Amino acid sequence: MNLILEEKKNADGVVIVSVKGFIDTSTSSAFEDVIKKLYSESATKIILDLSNAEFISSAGWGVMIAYLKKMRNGGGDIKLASMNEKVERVFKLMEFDNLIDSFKTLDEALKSYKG
Amino acid sequence: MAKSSIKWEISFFIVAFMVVVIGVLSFFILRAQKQELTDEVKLRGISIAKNLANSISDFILTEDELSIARIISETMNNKGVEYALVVDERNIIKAHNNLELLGTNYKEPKNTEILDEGQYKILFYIDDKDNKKLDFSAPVIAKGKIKLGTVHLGISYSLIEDVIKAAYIKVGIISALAIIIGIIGAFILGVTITKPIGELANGARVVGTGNLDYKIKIKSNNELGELANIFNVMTVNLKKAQEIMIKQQRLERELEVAREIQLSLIPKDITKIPGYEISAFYKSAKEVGGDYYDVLAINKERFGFVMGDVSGKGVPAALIMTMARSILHSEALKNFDKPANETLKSLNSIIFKDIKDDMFITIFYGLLDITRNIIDIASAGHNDTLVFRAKSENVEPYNPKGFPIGTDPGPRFDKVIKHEEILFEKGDKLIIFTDGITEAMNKENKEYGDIRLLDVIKKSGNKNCKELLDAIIQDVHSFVNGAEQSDDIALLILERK
Repeated sequence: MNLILEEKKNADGVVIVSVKGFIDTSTSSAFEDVIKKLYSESATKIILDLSNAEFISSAGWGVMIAYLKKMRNGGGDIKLASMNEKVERVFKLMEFDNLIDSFKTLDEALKSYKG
Repeated sequence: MAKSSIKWEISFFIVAFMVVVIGVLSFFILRAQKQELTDEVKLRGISIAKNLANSISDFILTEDELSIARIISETMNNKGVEYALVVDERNIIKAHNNLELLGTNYKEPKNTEILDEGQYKILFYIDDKDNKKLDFSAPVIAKGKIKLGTVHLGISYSLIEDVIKAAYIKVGIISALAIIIGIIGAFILGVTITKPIGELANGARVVGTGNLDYKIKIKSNNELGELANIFNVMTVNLKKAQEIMIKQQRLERELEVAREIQLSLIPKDITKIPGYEISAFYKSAKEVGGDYYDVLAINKERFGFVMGDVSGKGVPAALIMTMARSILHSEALKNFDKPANETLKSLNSIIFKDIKDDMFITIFYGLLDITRNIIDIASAGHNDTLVFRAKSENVEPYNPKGFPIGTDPGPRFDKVIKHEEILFEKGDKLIIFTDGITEAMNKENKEYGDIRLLDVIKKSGNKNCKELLDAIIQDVHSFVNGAEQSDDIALLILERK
C-alpha cells in the first residue's frame, strides 16, 4: 500500500499536507515523520488535504491524534479537508467528528484558520 | 581439541615421500655407479694384462730373467695390482712378482666365478684371507703366432668396493641432509598451514560457546583467508538474527503479560441486581485482549455498567486500562447521583495526562437506577448500544455523542459528551457490545455487520437474556465458520424481569 505526501506552505503560514494513498501500519511511520517534522518546525496551522487519501487505519488515526494533542497543547491545530466516504465512515464511527474539525473542501478549511 | 594435528600428517607425508624418492633415486644411481666402476676396473685390468703379455712375450722367449723381473715390477706399480705372473703351457710359473714361486706349478685359485670369457678371461674369487680379487688372463704370444703361455693379473676388488663405499657414503650424507631439510621444510609448511586452520578451529569453538563478537584474524590471501572472512560474515549475520529473535521474543512476552493483565480486569462473577438479570460473554482474540467490561454495585439502588477498549497494544495499553478501571470505579461512586457523562468527564480529565500521545480509550458507561428502572448512558467513542423492546419487539439503537477518552484534555470533551436516559419496561433488554461482534469476519473477509445482529436480536429478543446471548453468539459463530478471530468480542445483556 503506497503513500505519497506533499507539503505546501501558504502566505498565511498554513501548511497544507496533501495525502495520496493509504495510511496504514506500513506507511504510518512515513506519515509520522512528516507531521513530526512540521511540529518540530513549530508549524501551528496544519490542514490534511485528504481528497486523494484512500484509507486511514487506526494506526494512522493514532498518529494523527498524538500530534493533534501536541499541537493543541502548543496552541496549534490539525484540520481535515475533503475526506472520501470510506475515510469519513471510520472518522464518524470513532466519533472523531466532534474532536477534529473537518471540512468538505480545502477552501473551507483554509477559511476556518482565518479570523 | 584435535586428536592429531595436520602439521604432523603433512610433515610425515612429505618426509615419507622424500625418503621413497631419494631411496629409489639413490638405489638406481648407486647401481649405475657400481656398474660403471666395475666396467672401468675390468677394462683397466684387461689393458694392463694385455700390455704385460705384449711386453713380456719376447723376454719369455729369450728367458731374459732380468727384463722379465723388471716388467713384472713395472706392472706391479699399477694401483691395485696384487700379483702379476706368467704361466707357460706346462703350467710352470715363468714369471712372478714373488720370486720364490718361479718354476713352481701354478695353482689356480679355487671357487672362481667367470665374469668374462673370450680372448681375455676375467675371474672373480675370494682368496684364503677373505680378500675379493679379480683375475685377468691374457695369452702371451711371440712373433705373432707362437703361444708361450698366459699372463695372470690379479687386481684387488676392494678398489671397487672402496669407491662404491665412498659413493654410498656420499649419497647417504646427501640423502640424510635432504631428508633433514625436508623435515624442517615440511614442518614449516605444516605449521604455516596449520596455524590458520588452528585459528579457524579456535574461532569456531569460541563462537560455539556463544561469543558472536569474536572475529577470526587470518591475513592469508588464500582459501584459508577467504574461509575466515566467510566465517566472520556468518557470525555477524548470526548475531543480527539472534538480536532480531530476542527482540521478537521480548515483544511476544510483553504481549503475553499485557493480555494477562487485561484478562484479570474482567469480572469473574457478575453482581446480582434485584429485578434484573445479566448475561455476559467475553472472548479475547489471540494476540489482542484489550476489551474490558464490568458491572459495578455503586449502592443498593444504583449499578454501573462499563464496556471499553483501549487503542494501543502491549503492556502500556494494559496498564492504562487498569488505571482507567480504578479511576472509573472511584469516579462512578463519587458521581452516583449525576448523569453518566459526568463520570466520563472526570475520568477523562484525570487520566488525560497519563495517556500516551497516540493512545485513546473508547468507553460506554451506563448508570442504572433500579428504583426508577432507568439507565442513564454515555458513550466516549463507543459503538451503538441496542435496546430490545419486549412489547413492540423492536430494536432501538442508542449512541449519545462523545469522542474517545484521552484525545482532548477537557474543555472540548466536556462540551461534546452527552448522556441519554432509557426507560426499562418488563422484558426489555439492553445489549452492550464491542465492535468485535459487528466486525467479526468470515473466510471470505466479509463482516458480520449491524443488520445480522439486529435480525438475530429481533428473532430471539423475547427469550430470556441468557438465551438471547447464546443465540447471538451462536449466530456470530456460524457466520464466522472457523475463520480466525481478529478482535476481542465482548457482549453484555441486561434484562428487566
